[in-house]
This record gives sequence, structure tokens and C-alpha cells, in this order.
Amino acid sequence: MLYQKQAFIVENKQIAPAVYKLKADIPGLAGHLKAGQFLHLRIGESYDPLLRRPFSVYKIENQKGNGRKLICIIYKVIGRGTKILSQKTKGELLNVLGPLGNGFDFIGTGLKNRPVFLVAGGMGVAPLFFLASMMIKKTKPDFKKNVIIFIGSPNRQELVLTKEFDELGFKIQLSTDDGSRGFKGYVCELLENYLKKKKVFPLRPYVYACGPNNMLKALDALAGKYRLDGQISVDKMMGCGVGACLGCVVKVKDNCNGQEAKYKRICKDGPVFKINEIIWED
Amino acid sequence: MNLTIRLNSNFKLKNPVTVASGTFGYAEEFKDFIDLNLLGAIFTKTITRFPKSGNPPPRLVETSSGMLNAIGLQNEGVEDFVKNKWPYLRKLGPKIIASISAINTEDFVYLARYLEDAGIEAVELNLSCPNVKYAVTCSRKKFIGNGNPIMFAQNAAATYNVIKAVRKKTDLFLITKLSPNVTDITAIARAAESAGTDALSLINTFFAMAIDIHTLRPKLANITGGLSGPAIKPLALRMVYEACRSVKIPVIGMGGIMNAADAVEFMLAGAKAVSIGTANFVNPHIAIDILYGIKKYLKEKRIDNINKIVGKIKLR
Repeated sequence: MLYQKQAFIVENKQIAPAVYKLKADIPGLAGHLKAGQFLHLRIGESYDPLLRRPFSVYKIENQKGNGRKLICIIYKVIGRGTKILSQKTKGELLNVLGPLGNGFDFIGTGLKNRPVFLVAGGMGVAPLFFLASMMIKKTKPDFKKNVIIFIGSPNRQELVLTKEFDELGFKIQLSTDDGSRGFKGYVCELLENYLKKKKVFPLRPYVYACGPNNMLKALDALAGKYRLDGQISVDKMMGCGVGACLGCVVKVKDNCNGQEAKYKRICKDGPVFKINEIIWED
Repeated sequence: MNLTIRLNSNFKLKNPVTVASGTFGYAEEFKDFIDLNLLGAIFTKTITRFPKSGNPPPRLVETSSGMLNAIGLQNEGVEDFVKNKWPYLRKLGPKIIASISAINTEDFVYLARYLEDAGIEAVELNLSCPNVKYAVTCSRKKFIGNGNPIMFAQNAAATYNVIKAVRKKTDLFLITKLSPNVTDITAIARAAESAGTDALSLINTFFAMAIDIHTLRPKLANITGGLSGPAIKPLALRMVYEACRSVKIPVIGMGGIMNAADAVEFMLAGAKAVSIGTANFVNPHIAIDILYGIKKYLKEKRIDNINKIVGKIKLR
């Protein structure tokens, strides 16, 4: 079931130079959200910008005192839509569609004794934090020791949620493009260094990833080289968000018809795809 | 209050609010957001004879108060439609109008007959998709300036010929979707009428483009696309107004309708019904909001019958 609801902004706070954390009360929605699903937000009443903006959720927080569940989003200001969103204040309303898309498939016992890597680029860290929190709830405490979180970002200011991952007790490796914190370079380079050093591939590592297309493309290349299995979540400009307009497609290998490729909708068939399912066109 | 719109003696809509082809999928995508049975009619995503993969991405770009698309009619083909989508649609209350497209007349005829055999009552001939290459041969030449073959709806003779061919072979209620990318919409509208279409729907999107000034590339992989949304509403209204004055058959008006006032404007200009397009992306519930808004307008104006506002623009 999909819902169209009004979200009441409880907090919209700047946490880094261009990064904001939004908490909203969306009655009746929190319980239906899976890690990796997204919400399609209408930023304002104006027709300019016209379309909704998709955001993934990183946390559902219990509000103290009243038992309400708040939906938490982290976003970076990159264009007009996110700029306008960043100016919204407590008490303002946003129209929301959700939960949309297929979230990550937590394969549970399928991960037994396998190294699990959560690989995040930029704001892609958000749905992976939701997934990690869910993993904690669904697994025994020693599951964590097989998991490593890799987070990459342009600079140290935009490395977000590292403290939160730390508090959950996960091992973390960090990279920044400018070297201001952690490994200097891209997160997939950091991951490759680890794979080279540890030679874990006989244990069939499993990856959950979310980040910009270039990162996911690099990850797909690594997956071929090191026999990684897993799931990636793709972000793209969307129209309707519900699978009707066919505006947000990626080319995928079509398993049903042999080698032929076809376009799948990120909003409805994704945003999570299998590693090496996508044929990157740009 | 009477909201019934009679498009001809045996084809009527329970109200004038419809959803436009390509903006509403096959309706099921919207079932959680809206009571589909309240709609006047549903135009399906365009169906072609064979599956069509569509254009490469990026296919969609936001522009000032509008958007460009170059989807390229991605769909699974008519056989899949009848097998997998029609069973859901046929159980719904509103009239279902199957939008069809083809690059040649033969396939248009095939599609219409195939759908008629499946029990479909009405089709919309999409002669005006800006993102596919039609194999239109018209009286003068096959190609226009930009090297692309023209679309059927850009030439009166081509429009006439394809409609006439479909008309001869079926008893379906035929709606013809026209393009705004023409110098004289009335000439095309009249050609369609004389070929025997039962109604017209207009407008499709405007040829348009956008360029990324940093990469120096067009923002759409297809280079050009179709512009829709509130940005085009005044342009659409003018064309619907002119078309309505040039033909006797009913016209379904669309182009950037975002609210009830926009819808009423199209009806005052002469449209018997309206289609909601891009607005469905902004708010999946908007078609019903617009229907209620029209009812409110009629009540405030003490008008008991929707048909009394059709074409009632006062010119002096």
C-alpha cells in the first residue's frame, strides 16, 4: 500500500556546510518503511520547481514523551529543490508519497559466515544506516563482527553518520576525495585496497551499496574482479515516482530473454538492483 | 448537478475530467492514491504493435514550471496489454481509452482491430509523439528541416489518410491526438474531422530542449523532447480554442492543467472534456481535486449542467 500524506516538520537542521537533517512526523507511515525505500516530497506549493524530489530515510526515531515515530532524512543542498527544502522550518508541512520502491533485501541467513560490506558514497550513507540498524535488530550480536562499513565523501565535513555507525558497534573505514579524513581517494579504491590485502573473496563477500552513479559503476567493476555479490541502490531525478512516467530508467540485463537488455524503472523496479545487473550507459 | 458529457450518441463520460496518456501508466500505478472510478475516462500509456524499449536515459528534465520528456513510447506491446493490463482496466468504471501509436498506417489499423477484438470501446490515435520517428510519406517530401521524418499530425494529408484507413476497418470510438508543433492547427483538425475521427484530443507536447552549460551536452539523451506542464498552458489553450472553432466534433482539451480554474478555461474555450497530464506527477490525487473544484465552480455560478459552460467564452 502506498500513501499520500502531510508531513509536519519537527526539525530541519544544518549539520555540515551544505548538509541538512530533516525530522518529520508523518502519521501512519513510519511502520511501513523498509530500508532502501524512498519518500517523494513536494517541496512547496509553487509550480517552479515543478516535480517532487526523492529522499531516502536513514532513521525512524521515537519522539520522547508522546510515542510518535519521526522519520529522519539527511540531504545535501545541490539544486533549487533542496535549497528551498533547506529553508523550511519547524511546523511547516510537506506533501509526501511513500513508501516507494523496493528496499534492500536483507537475505539474513544467506549472509552467514560471509563478510558483509556496506559501501556508501556521499548521502548514499542514509539508506545504509537504516539497513545497518535493521540488521542489529534482526541478527545476533556477533553478526556485526563480519560487517564493515565503508563511507566515502568529498571532504570531512560531509562525512555524516560516522558517529552513529560507531555507536551501533560497527567497524568503519573512511575515505575523502581531498584526504581531509581517512583514506585519500574514492571509497571503491579504499574497498579494493582492503580486498587486495585481506583476500576474503573465497568467503563470498556480500555488498550493500548506495551512492553516486560513478561510485556504483566502479563497484560493479570491482564486483566482477573480486567476485562480489550484493545489491546497489541507484539515485536519479524522477517524475512520478510510482512507475507511470518511465522517466527514471536504467538499462539492465534481461535474464528472461537471454542477452537482450531492457530499461527498468528506478522508482518502481528499483531503486535497489543486483550488483552487475545494470548496464551503465553514461 | 449534471456532469455527464456526451461525446457522441453512444459514447458518454460521467464527468469531463480524464487523465492523459503517458502520465497515468495503466491506472493501477495510481490505485492507492485515488479512487479511479471517479474519473471521467482513463487514457492508457501509448501501446504499439510490438514491444518498444524506448529512448536511452536521461529521458526527463525539469524546466521552469514544466518538464521535458523523451521516453520514446516504451511499452510491452499490444499483446501484453490485452493479456496483462486490460483485465484490470476493464473492471473499472470510467471509459478506458487505449492510446495507440505506430510508424505506419498498416500498424495503426492492426492495433485498432486487435483492441476492438479484445473488447475495447475507444482508442486514441497518437499521431503526435515528439520522440519517435514516424515513417510518414506526405504529398511533398518525407523529411523536414531537422532531418527527422515528420509526425502524422504535422501534415493534414497524412493525418487524413491514417484516420481514414482505421475508420474504414473499425467501429471503435476514435479520438485523434494532435500536435502543437504545426503552423495551423485548424487545418489538421479539419482534416481529421473529415477523415471520420469521432473526437480530437489536444495538445501533445511541444518540441523543446535544454543544454547543460557545464558538460555542454543536451540534457536529454534524445537531444530534443516534449515540453509539458503549467509552462505550456496558455499556448495549449489558444490551440484548443482555435481547434474548437474549426470543427463540429468534440474536443478534449489539455496542456498544463494544474487546477480546476485551468480546466474551466479549457471548457470555456470549447473543450467538452479535459485531460490532466503532468499534474498527475506533482500530485497523484489531483484529477479528483480538479473534479471537485469544477463542481464547486458550477455551484457558485448556479449552473446545473456542465455542458452549459462548454464554449461559453464571451468574445465581446
